[in-house]
Amino acid sequence: MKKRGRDWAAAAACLLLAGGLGTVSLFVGSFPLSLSQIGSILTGGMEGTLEAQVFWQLRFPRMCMGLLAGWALGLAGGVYQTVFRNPLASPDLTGVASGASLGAACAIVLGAGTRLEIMGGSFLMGMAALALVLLLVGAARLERTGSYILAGVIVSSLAEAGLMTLKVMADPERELAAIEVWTMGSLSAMTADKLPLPAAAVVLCTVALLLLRRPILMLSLGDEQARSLGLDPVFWRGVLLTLTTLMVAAVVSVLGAVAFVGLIAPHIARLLLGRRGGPYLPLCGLVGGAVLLCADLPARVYTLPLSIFTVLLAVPVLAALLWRRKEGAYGDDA
Amino acid sequence: MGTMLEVRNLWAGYTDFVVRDLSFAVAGGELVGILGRNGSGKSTLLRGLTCGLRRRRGQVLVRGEDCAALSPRQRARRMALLPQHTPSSPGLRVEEVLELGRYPWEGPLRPPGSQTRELVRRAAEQFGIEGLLYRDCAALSQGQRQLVQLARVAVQGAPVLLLDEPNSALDFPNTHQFFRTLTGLLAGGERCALVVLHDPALALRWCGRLLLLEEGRLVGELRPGETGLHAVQSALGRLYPGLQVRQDRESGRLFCAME
Repeated sequence: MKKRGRDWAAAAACLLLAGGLGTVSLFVGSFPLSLSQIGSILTGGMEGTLEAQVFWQLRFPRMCMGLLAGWALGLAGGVYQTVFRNPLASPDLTGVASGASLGAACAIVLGAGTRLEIMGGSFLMGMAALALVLLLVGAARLERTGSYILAGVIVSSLAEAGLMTLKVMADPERELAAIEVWTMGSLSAMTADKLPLPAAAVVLCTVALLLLRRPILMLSLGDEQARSLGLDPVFWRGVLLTLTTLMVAAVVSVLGAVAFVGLIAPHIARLLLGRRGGPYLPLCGLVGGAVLLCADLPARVYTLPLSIFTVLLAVPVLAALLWRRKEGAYGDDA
Repeated sequence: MGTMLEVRNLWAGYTDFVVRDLSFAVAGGELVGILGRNGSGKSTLLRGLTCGLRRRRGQVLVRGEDCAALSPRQRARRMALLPQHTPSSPGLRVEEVLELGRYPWEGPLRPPGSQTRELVRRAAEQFGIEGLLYRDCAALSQGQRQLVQLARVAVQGAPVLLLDEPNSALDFPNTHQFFRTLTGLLAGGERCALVVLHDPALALRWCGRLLLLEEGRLVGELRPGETGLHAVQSALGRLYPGLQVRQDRESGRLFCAME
């Protein structure tokens, strides 16, 4: 019983935290909605009023998307840190965030960009960034964990260069501002109609990733052991990378690039749980959701980009990580 | 006992071939030691057997089946390799590492069942690590981790065991306990083991047969129980210059000393 106690405690804590933050975020926003108003809206009252419309079209989708995006980034971070055996691995690693930013900037500068075009552009470029990473690793004929990280750095730098070019070309009044807002991430433009597509991608990828927990754990033992256990590390890393990138690109295409959530969520989950087995991956997702909702609360009050607050949240976590490293908490080769 | 593992003209290596034209066979129940100096191709030989290398030529047959034609999972049901370096990332419990040993049988989607838990429990008892099952594997000592890896190989349940320096981190009693356990695993004749060793005395004490490797080629074969003292002396002396093999008068066992 003792060995399961901590699992339950950690899961309950994360559920409460994410649920609590979700509830609180329903009450916070620029349009004033009182407790009693929200109560009657939730029970089906006030139909057709402006209040109900604000709640169902803006407030509620914003909370859902925040939770969903945080879940996707946190889960992806947990998978990356396990599979790459590296505590600094995160969804940005494969260049997907920079690729998606470049795609969004392209749409903004070239097509003036409806929201759908921006979403599509960033999703396509995010996936293209992953394809390029896999291609580079394949061409180097050296399938090690370090190769993916190096290839990710190369692709990210390329995308950053492209982004800088576009910023210079952009019309400073409208386009440049839009690009800047996009690269810092924001939920302020979130409406109900943008929810279904990323939600479907995140749910599908989550189910697949949770079913594939064994290959994920096996890759954390290193390629040679994985191979001797009958798991083709190259094939499975490709599968897992594609699933996570699909999920991340789907949410990033709506939110823009949000920094650090995928990096710190797995560390908090690991700190709470004390291990990587059992409910570790869903916990990464829950913590990610909580972190993003937490950052979105001040972001909507002050109408500022999300990344400002996720970075503020990440600083103490990363400092704690630095502190723990000297105790060898991440192994000798991490 | 029938032939369990047959190797025909195996060449294996990385950019160049390190293992050159090796042929041998291992019967069920046999414990075969591989001796050779550093860099003589011992580890490469084991990797080559599991088809884990890009440059590879020749045939490896397990019970008459060619391994190159098999999928990685099918191969892992027939051969279990314990690599020399077994990195473990923090956060995995011993129990979970052992359960992963059933992957070749269960596949990526099926969660470990009651049969797997029973196998894990039995292997943990065999290797004396039942008290460590809920500990973080990365927090254990090198020797304890090695015992975990050996138990993992036992859980894998393959007939051919390939062990690369399995005793490199074990203390004196654990080393002998390990060989006793291994001999017990092989006793039914359902398995055979190929073990890379650095200590010729240990090899003479426990292995039924020794393969001597020099620059990737097979340069000799010894049967410690049957080969005479002088033949053992000259074969091992060639591999390890200055090595003296002595025989205990009472038990007839062979010992090694350096001049």
